[in-house]
Amino acid sequence: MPPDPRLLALFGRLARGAGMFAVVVGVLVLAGWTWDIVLLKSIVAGLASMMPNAAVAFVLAGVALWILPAGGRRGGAPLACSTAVAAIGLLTLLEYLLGWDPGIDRVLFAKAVSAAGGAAPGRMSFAAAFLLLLNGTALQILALPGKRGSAVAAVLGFFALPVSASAVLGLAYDVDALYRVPFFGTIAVHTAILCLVLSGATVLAAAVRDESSLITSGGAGGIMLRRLWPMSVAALVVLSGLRLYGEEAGFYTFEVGLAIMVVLAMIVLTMLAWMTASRLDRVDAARKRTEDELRDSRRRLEDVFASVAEGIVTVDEDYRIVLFNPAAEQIFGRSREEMLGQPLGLLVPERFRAQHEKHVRAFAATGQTKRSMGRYGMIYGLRANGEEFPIEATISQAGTAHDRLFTVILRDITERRRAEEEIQRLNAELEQRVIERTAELEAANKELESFSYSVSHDLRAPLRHITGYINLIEDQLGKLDEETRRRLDVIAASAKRMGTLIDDLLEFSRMARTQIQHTEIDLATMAGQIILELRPEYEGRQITWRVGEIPMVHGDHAMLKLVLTNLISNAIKFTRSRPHAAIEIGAVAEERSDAVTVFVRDNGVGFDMRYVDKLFGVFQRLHTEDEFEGTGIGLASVRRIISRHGGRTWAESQPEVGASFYFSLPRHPQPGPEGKR
Amino acid sequence: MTVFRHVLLVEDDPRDIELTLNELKKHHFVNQIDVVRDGQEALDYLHRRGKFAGLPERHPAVVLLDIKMPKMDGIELLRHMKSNAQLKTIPVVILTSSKENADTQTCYQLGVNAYVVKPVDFAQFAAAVREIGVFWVLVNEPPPVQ
Repeated sequence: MPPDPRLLALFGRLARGAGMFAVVVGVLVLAGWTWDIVLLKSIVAGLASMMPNAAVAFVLAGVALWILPAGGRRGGAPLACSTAVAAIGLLTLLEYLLGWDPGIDRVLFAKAVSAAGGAAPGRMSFAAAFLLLLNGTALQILALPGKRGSAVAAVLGFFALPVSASAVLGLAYDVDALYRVPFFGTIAVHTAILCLVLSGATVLAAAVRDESSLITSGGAGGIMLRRLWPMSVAALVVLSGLRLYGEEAGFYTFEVGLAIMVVLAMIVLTMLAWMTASRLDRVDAARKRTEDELRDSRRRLEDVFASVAEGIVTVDEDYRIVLFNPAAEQIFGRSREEMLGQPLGLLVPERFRAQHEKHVRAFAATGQTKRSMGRYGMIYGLRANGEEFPIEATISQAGTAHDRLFTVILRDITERRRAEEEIQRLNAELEQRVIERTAELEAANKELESFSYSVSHDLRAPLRHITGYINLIEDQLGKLDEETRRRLDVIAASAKRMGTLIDDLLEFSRMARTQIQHTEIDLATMAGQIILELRPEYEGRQITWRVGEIPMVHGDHAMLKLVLTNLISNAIKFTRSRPHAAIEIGAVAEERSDAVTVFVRDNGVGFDMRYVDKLFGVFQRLHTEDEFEGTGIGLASVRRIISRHGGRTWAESQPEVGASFYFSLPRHPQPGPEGKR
Repeated sequence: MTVFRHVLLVEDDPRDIELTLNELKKHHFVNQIDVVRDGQEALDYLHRRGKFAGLPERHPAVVLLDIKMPKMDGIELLRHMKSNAQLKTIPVVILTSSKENADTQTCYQLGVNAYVVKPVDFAQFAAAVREIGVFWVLVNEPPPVQ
């Protein structure tokens, strides 16, 4: 299991704290020697003192420990310090073993240490020297560059731990026997404690260095080790001490004490094992939960990945395919197995490959997370069968600088392309057809224009001649009999009527051909003017005129004037038989509508609603010429003009009661059926 | 009133010529009415060339001009007259069946002096011809002879 980063930080801090502690104690002891302070040299008068060279070694080891776990550069100060520590330990051991005295014991405070007496004045205990050698060597290994040897350093530390613990325990339990072992000799209290601290710190420092160390492991083993080991050791130490004190105080005999201790140890160790196991179980359960969630979320992702309609292709830094979803399989006609590990270029037509790779690389350089592809033109994919097809795609990148993944999400737009091309083709065709039709219409229009020009000239001339020659005949013959006169009048009247018909027809055809000039028009005012202009038509008659309010409309002034003139003129004509005619012009109130509906209402003879359909037709008349004169073109013109304005025309009537003619106009100009020409 | 004035009628339709002449002569205020049948002939007349070479040097009091004629039509002739320094001062009255806006517009732009649509009703036609004659021959002051 990888190390738990929080533990690494904690252990590092502990090791550095221990180093700081060693430096402080060492410096205090040296101060004690300088000013002969017993408390600092020996803690309690009569006990062994920490020797000056041991204090120096602790200071150096402390410095090495302070620097090492900080993770700075190797070698340098820590290596020099730890080497000095190991050297001091080794030389002292050699002194003991070889009886050789190079004088290192009395380098500092020679007089003071000599005064303290002893077999070898100023020499530290054998145990202290041994422990300094072990720890010094371990720190040396840790101070070397590279991570190899961290395990060896840990072993050295682990070995130093029980040894130093024995010394501390000996002092704590006040075991004289332990002191009398030459190995321990007369070790000072704080020397023993510092050795223990130093050994522990070495183990921690080694653990921080070694990523595979069990102590810092985030796994179950690490947890068990960190919980069970220090607690059980501590339990044993405490229980043993209690037992010893109890025995010495005479609370129980040796056997009873042993029994009590074994029982207590069993209880404590069982509890520790239980607690540790339960903790491990919890950790395990949590991990299992996390794993399940991970699996679920992975499955969901895979489902999405497998079910989307878009092809998803993910490539690594080297543009080799690492993911290829089913949609991509279908689009490219290649299987996942076949494509994994293959270069992305395989999916791009040969001629685009270099360009494509350049663009992907450029995209990688931008650091953008995503963008749509094809900004430099249409992009194409290549199917297994060599067929090229247009695609639409986005590319995204994720991951770290060293482990970057590019994901292309794409869809085959062949169909859409085809549809678009079809639409374009149809549009072009339609446009062509419109052009042709317009040309045809223009030609027809031209023809119509020249036709009406001819009509205007050539059809009217004979009529004029007829009336003219009748007049000549009349002049020539002088007095005519009644019947001949009447017949000549009929000829003249017919010719005249024919002229009117031609004029109206020409006007009607002009209404179809002239372009609409849109202006804003006040129909009510216009109606007032028309009523005045038509006065000769109703001279001497009694007509009640009513012109209501009409909203402003948009339309062609001349054309709409013709509409109103025709309708009002009709109303005048068809109320002729009424002693009191009433003609009303106004608008139908329509709040929401976009259209304005105008009516012209009269109390005239009206018409039969059965023939309402014929009303607006050309040459359609509902009355005989004898009853009411007319050409049957007026209302046809009205309908044509209104329909060209995008409006509607209709009429209502009750015979002998009156008639209402309606037309609607859009409030705002709009491209009507013939709005644009 | 004593000034000798004559009128030029440019008209291709013999019936119209007859009716017009009849009406103009009826009232005896025109001494002479010359008739030509198309624009080309009218130009020859006005420039006194071809078969009109021997004509005395004088302009008509007014030219009554039909629009639709064979060869050179009335508008063509009008254009020619109004762009010719000698002819442009001669008053021209269009006398036509046409009611087309386009024609009216063109003629006025070319500088026509009057535009009359011949009514179908003879009484009105006669009145129009009479009034034209009276106005241009008797009332109107001709341009000074250069």
